[in-house]
Amino acid sequence: MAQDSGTRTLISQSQLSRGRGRVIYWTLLVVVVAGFTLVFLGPLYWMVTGALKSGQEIAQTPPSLFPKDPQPQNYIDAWNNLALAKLLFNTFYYAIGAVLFQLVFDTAAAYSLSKLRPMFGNVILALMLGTLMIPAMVLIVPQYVTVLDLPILHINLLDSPFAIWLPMVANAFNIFLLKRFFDSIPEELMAAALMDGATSMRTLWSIILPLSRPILGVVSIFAVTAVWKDFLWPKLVMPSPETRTVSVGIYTFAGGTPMNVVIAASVIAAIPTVIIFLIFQRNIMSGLTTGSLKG
Amino acid sequence: MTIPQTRLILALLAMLQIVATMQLFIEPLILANGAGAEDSATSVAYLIYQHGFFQNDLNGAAALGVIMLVVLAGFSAVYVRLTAKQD
Repeated sequence: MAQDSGTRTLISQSQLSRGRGRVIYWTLLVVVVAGFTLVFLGPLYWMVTGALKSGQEIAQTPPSLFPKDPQPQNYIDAWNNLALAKLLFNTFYYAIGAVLFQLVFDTAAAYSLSKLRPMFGNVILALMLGTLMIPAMVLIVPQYVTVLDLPILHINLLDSPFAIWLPMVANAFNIFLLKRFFDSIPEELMAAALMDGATSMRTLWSIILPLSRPILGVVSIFAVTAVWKDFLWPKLVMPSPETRTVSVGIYTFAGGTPMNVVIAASVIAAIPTVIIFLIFQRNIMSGLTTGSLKG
Repeated sequence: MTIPQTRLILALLAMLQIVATMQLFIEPLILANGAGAEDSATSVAYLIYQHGFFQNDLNGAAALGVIMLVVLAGFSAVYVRLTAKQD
């Protein structure tokens, strides 16, 4: 930048504006920006244009950079042949359910751990955080066995949306995120509410939740993206074609469908997440920093 | 200057990356059908999947999961030791 920003970095302003420093600065900037744009947008470009190629063109080596004869028909084929409307609806349904369940139960858990402080609350919190140490892949088998025959109730949850919703709700990370946020709400507000005769339920509803809108947004976004991009778990617990999620659906059809149509289907499946990201960009960024460890 | 100061964060990122990569599943499944030439593309996660849901060997799959947990805990232990030295 030409103007003095006021912050002194390792390389001084005068070094930057002089002949050689300036050349190096701009070359580096252009190379880095161009390089990262290519790395991040390249795959997206490849996907969108790949879907426009004809079946013959997509199979050829070397691949062509632009589709010679764009065929938007592929997108329509993908929508019809893969029954994408049903797949997208399923995924959306699971995502909305996961959001609602998480908002209700995770908020309740975080509220009681942060403000109501039951006996052994810290032990419970430590146990919850302990589950974060176990990689998701390790839990796949025990979780699957549990879903096949739910303890006590003895119901089989295969093909039931609860097979996705219930494991999603037991999300220690989101509970911890919410608890940390609730911890930052001053105790005085709670005391004032108590003086006015509010029950703890009323305090949660009228004081804590309105203040926590940003973090509730973050949790919802995490829930939606987690459901949308999950593959192995829905593949295992949603075996029948009517209950499949979009990622599993595309994978199952990939074998018998032309490659360009499959890619078109992936583009369509990716659109909702891209839109969600563009709308909630700021919330997602703030969510990434609230939960993380700050060095 | 910068690198010694961010050592902890670098170690944390390295550990998280190792943990994430050990759980690789979709890429080998789609690109190499999970196996590749002489199982060169088989990941632990795929092995668990194969044992548990195709060879009808849920016990073996669970055992593999435990082994994976131990290995990953080993990496975490290295990270914890690195952090402890700093203090």
